[in-house]
Order: sequence, then C-alpha cells, then structure tokens
Amino acid sequence: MSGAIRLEKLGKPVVYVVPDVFVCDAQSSAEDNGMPGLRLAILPGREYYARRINTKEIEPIALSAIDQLISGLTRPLSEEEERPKQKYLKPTETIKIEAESYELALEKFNQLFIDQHWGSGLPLIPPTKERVDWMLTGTHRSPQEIIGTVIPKNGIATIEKIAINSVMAGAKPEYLPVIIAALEGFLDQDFDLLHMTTSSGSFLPAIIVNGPIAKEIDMNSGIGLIGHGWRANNTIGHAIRLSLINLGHLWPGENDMALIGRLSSHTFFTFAENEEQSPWEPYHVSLGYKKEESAVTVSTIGGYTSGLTILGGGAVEIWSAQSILDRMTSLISGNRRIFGLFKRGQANPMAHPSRFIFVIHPELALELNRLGYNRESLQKYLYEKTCIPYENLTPQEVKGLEDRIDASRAGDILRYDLIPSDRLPIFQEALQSGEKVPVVISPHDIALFVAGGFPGYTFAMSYFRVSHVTKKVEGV
Amino acid sequence: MITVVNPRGQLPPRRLIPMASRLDSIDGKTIYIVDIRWPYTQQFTEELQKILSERYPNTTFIRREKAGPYGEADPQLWDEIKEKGHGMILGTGH
Repeated sequence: MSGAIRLEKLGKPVVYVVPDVFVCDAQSSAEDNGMPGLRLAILPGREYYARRINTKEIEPIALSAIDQLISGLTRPLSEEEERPKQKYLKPTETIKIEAESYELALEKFNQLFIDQHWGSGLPLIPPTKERVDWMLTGTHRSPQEIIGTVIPKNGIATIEKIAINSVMAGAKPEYLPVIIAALEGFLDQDFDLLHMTTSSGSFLPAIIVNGPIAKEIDMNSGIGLIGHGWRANNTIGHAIRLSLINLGHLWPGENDMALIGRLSSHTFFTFAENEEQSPWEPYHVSLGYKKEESAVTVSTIGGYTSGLTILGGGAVEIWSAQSILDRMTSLISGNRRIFGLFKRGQANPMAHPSRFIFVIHPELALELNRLGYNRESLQKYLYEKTCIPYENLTPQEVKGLEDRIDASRAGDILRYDLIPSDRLPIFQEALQSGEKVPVVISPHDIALFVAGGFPGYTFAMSYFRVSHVTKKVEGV
Repeated sequence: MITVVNPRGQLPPRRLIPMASRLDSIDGKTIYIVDIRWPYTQQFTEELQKILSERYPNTTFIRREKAGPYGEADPQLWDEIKEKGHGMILGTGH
C-alpha cells in the first residue's frame, strides 16, 4: 500500500489489486496514508483464494480484473481525487439518548453504540459525565494527559478517553491505573500494535499484572486465572478491548482483519502473577522494578503462532518436573524450522524467531525451586537445552542462518527476523564444528511467570520475539 | 434521558495527497506490474502480464517483484518506475 502512495506522489498512476474481502481494509489504509481515493481493482475473493494456486486456474480471475486495471490507469481524476477533502471533523462531545424510561434509554444507548461501532458486542455501562468523573478518581494523572496515539487511525489516547472506555467496560476506578499502564505498553515503540490488532493472523494480547496492586484490586491469579468470574481481570481486559476499538477506530472486517476473531476477544488473557505462591521473585522484580512497585506486562500471543498449549500438571494427570521441562524444550525446539525457512528479502512468518511465555503452576515452581532452579537458571537451561549442534544442521539451515546473520549485519531485514547486534557474535561463532546454534535469539525471549492454583496447569503462549513490554503502574 | 460522553479518540488532521494524473491511453506506454510477493501472487501477476500483453500489444508490461519484506519500501524499484514507467499495477493486497 505505501508503495502505491509513493508512486502516486512521484506522478505515476497506480492501481492496487485486492480481493473483495480486503477492500474495506485497503480503503481504510489508503485513507490513513492520505490518499482516500487510491484506485483499486477488486477481485472476487471466493474464487481468487480457491484458484490462485496455478496460472491455469487463476486465468479467469485475472481476466476479470483487466477492465478495472485499464480504467484505473486512464479514467480522468474526479475533483475529489484531485483535491481530496478532510473527512474527519471534531466528534460530538456528548450524546443525548432520549426514551420513555431509563430501561428503554439503556437499550437505545447500547444499540446506538454497537451500530456506531463503538461497542464490543457485550452490554455496556453508559459513560455519563458523573460516572467518568468517578472513574477518574482512580488516578492522579490529568484527564487531558495524552499517552500517545492508537493505530490504525491514530486516535489520540487521553486519560479521559481511557476512563470513558473503562466506564463502558464496567471497571472500577481503582483498576484505571492498570488499564492505563497496559495501554502505555501497547503504545511503546517496541510493541507492534498494528500487527496485533489488524493482522489476518488473529492474535491477542496477554495482560499480566505484578506487584501489590494485583491483590489490592482482587485480581485472580489462581484457579480459573484466564476465565470469567473476576471483575478486575474481566473488566480490565474489556476496557482495553474497548479502548483499542474506540481510540484506534478499529472494527472487525473493516480494518481489523483477524480471520477467526480472537480467543477471549472481549477480555483477552488478563491475570496476575501468583506472587504469594511463587518461590521466586516476582516477574517485574526480575526486570529491575521494586517489589513494592506494580507493573503490567503486555505481550502479543496466539493467532497462528500458538494460542495456548498446556504442558502438564492438573488434578488427575501424572506428571513430573522433568516431564514438563521436556515438553517445554520440545515446544521451543520445534521452532528450529526458522533456520532453513529464512530467505533474505522475503517476509515469511514461519521464519520469524519466537518468544515464549511459560506460565508455571505453583506446584511445579516449588518443585523446580527444590531442584535448584530459579527464574534465571531455568531460562538458561531452556535456552541451552534447545540449542542445535552445528553438525546436525542441514545445508539449507546453515544457508538460512548465514543469510540471516548477513542481513542483520547489513540492516536489510524485517525487525521480526533480526538478530540484534549484541547477539550476532553468538550466532556467528555457533556456525562451526563443535558449537551449538540457539533456537531462541536470547534467554530473555523465554518469559517465565508463576500463576494458577493447587493443582494447576503449566501452559505456554508464544508469538514472534517483538511486542513484549512491561510498564510500571503510575498515578495510583 | 441519558447523556453520555463520546468514547472515540480524536483523530489528528491528515495531510491529504492529490493523486497523479491518469494516462490518456496506455498505447506506447510502459506499465509495471509489481508483485508484493504474498503466497501465489507470482502466478496471478504472471497471468496478468500475459493477458495484458496479448490484449494491448502496443504497451510494454514489465513484471517485477518488490524487494524486501512486506510493508517495507523498495526505493530502487520506485526510482526505476519513476524513470522508465508510466504507471504501476500493484498486487495483491493479501
């Protein structure tokens, strides 16, 4: 898309070819890039996806596009295309809902908000000024403070707008600092929010809370930790869902192209680390935060990478610490495919290095602690155990690794595929006899949390190695 | 009656870009067909080139693959099209 806009700016007419299911997304993206009239040639998606596999099958689909292509290149510009007009006006600050009774007004409000694409599909609490003011008592931060802009349309995220969406979600004021911290994580430059919220890959965030605030607001970190029935967990997640919709101007099938939607799409996976039952220091403390501070970690997971994989534990299954460690290493080792699939200049999601989150149930954490592991040594164990001896690499894997190293050194690489400069020497030295090549770029790409109850399950979630950010909870 | 406040994030003003003038006709022109390189876009863009070349013999259709990962620019190709081309067909967007 950006290439099409670039060529138009250089004075060359462009037609962008897109299957019908992505037309709204393409138009939205063209608008976001300042050229709402960018000309499209629209393919019948049902036939295109079914027949694109070879040239013989695709011929009728290509034929159907020819007239659109020629017209797109030659039909004179309309006045609007020559001089596009600003579409967006300042939105109305308040909306009056009139009805014969409060119940009817509530129903009318909910219908209006879903019709406007301002809701999530679940019933909402009306964000009256009084209720928003009440929500804002949960933070010392100014309502006018801007924490950033939210993609895809770069809506401005003020504390007040976040509070409005938090009211709608049914949150309490004391949850607001957690909601703000999570959104600050999403807006961090190391977080690819555009990919998480718009990709057809159907990803979702995990939102994990550490520190005293988790207990103060009664977050669940035990049995049922990613489930329903806990107001803090569920409405914090819902407030973030609504904030992403309303601050980013996001909507499924328009610019949120998640093909299957998302797991836990209304509340995401929102839980706290079970610090009371963990033998180890809290996760945020391992990152350098103080124990008395609170922090929120946001991390993209799921989609076609891995939603959630249970690795062992439970009330009836027989398990041992080693059996679960073996499943962890097996899961990481499976990512060896990235070695051979990397091709310079190509964007192949299957070649992106991964980051793994392991949520370890307390019983296993206690056993691992008894065996002498702490968080750091377990990270190191998993990292080293999954390294592949150089002698076992195929020629294709060696070539892929060499190309990845060269492209990383030259800076000619997608950030998802990059080996950072501080890790490059490790990979360079590993490509020789007697050495081992890591499957994960760094031990820090293995994030370990302790959560769940007695009994519990240990489970894994993964994504590419970007988009994992921790933010301190401020303004409580 | 309920009065509620608007939950939408204010959008910043956008700089709108005028589109390039269209061609009078494609006769005698060079049109680039640029493959974004999603799965199977090679087959589709090759077929487009074949059909267009047969139907418009007075036009040169050059098929090129965009270098670099999806979402990243290919400035060399854009410069080449600016210098040698009259228009571009880009596809497919997924």
